[in-house]
Amino acid sequence: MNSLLVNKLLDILLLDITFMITIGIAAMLLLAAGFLLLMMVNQRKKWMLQKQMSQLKEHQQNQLIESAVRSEEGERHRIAEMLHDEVGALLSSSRIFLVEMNTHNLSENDKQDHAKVKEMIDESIQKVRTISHNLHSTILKEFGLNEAIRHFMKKITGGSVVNSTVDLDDEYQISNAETDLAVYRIIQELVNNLIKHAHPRLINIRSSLSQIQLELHIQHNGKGLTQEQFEELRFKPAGLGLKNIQNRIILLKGKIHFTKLDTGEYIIQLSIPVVI
Amino acid sequence: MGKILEGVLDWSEVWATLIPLIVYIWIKPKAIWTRPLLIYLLIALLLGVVVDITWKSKELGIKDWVERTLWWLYRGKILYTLIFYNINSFLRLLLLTWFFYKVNPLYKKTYLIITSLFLTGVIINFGFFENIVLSFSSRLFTIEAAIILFYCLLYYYTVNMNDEIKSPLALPPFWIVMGLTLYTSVNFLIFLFYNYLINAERTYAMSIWNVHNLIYIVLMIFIAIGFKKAK
Repeated sequence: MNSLLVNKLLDILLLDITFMITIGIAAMLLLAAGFLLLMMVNQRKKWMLQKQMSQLKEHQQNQLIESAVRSEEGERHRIAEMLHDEVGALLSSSRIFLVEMNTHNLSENDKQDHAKVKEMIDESIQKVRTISHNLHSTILKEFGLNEAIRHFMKKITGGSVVNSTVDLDDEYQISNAETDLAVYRIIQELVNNLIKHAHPRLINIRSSLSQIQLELHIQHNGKGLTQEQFEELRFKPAGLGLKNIQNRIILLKGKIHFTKLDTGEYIIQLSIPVVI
Repeated sequence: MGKILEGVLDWSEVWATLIPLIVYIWIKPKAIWTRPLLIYLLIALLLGVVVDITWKSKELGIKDWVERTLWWLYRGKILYTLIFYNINSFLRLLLLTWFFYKVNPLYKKTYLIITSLFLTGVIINFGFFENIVLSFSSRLFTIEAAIILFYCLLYYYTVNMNDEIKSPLALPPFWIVMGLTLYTSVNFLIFLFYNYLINAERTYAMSIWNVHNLIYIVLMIFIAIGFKKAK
């Protein structure tokens, strides 16, 4: 019944069914192949667009980080200058007045108080100087990164139970102040964190310079971090210091890696691209 | 030359099925979505061997043995092997639904509804309208092709929505879905008109089945590539 109906319809239309089916099959094949081709081209275009978008986003993020780091450095510089020039000067003047004070007529108790005040002012002057230097290292500016790291390590471990060894590659003489400052801040933050949280007995900092990058290794025998712990902590509000480290690493286009060695010690590896 | 080509195409449902099976044994892909395909290939191979051996039993000199073994498929002097095609089509849809559920699980409800409707349709069709042994069910094959094509489109939609995919060709299931798209779209019209053609234009119907065999070889090659990439 159906066949008859189809035949009748085709006779009316003066068409041959075999020809129609052949054409239909060819058309279906072309349609399917064309659809697949278009889909693949479209997918590739979408991916390219997505890639461009993420690159733009990354660029914007880097610019934001850069301006945040710059403003932080500017603020540090301003506070360091104010501490050094104003508070430091005021304390020094106070010390002069205190030293020049006639203490012969004072009672024994007052003499002791006078000596105590002088001692406290001396300590304050020292503290202001340390804070000011930490906020803005003049050694870094004048003598370079290696000397600044050596000075920092000597200062931070001097008089404490922590020992440190510094073995830096003196070939490193890059005059890029921004890179030096960022690396110095990373080292500063890392070592401060180590002393505060890892409680090591020994910290070793060493560096080596190749044609393309500066490798810095901080090895210690405290209770350090693994890469997984670092990744986890840097997204927590408490891990602000680690976030700052990561931001500076992103700016430098470098890499940081935390590893626990078989010996039980920990090592932090920094790779910073440099142009010699 | 023509005879050789004819022989190659006639036996394609056997030797072509072996291509992805050999790749599977060689690669041993661990992806769970390869399981339904493996079962489908084994069933297709078994049914392909049975159909081709019975069809070529006279040339192979095993006609008596076939008559003795498959007596239940004879109606008078004629042997009907169409039941194997119908079973293959039915099982293929179920196994491919399982495959699509594994590679594109977003549409679980859709698969469930379509499979339920399909099963109901098959029972009604073979219960009241068509004989599963005596006829090649154009309805079953056409609906199966349409459903698979629809599943393929759902898969493409999911891939297209994912901006992370650089090239879909890097996805192993994509090759298989691509093969299925070509297979079902080309065979849709063949399946739809085959019952009519086998009565009205027998020679044309026989030759158009070669197109089916050709695209079946393409499908098997694409499945093999999918398995290879799923390593």
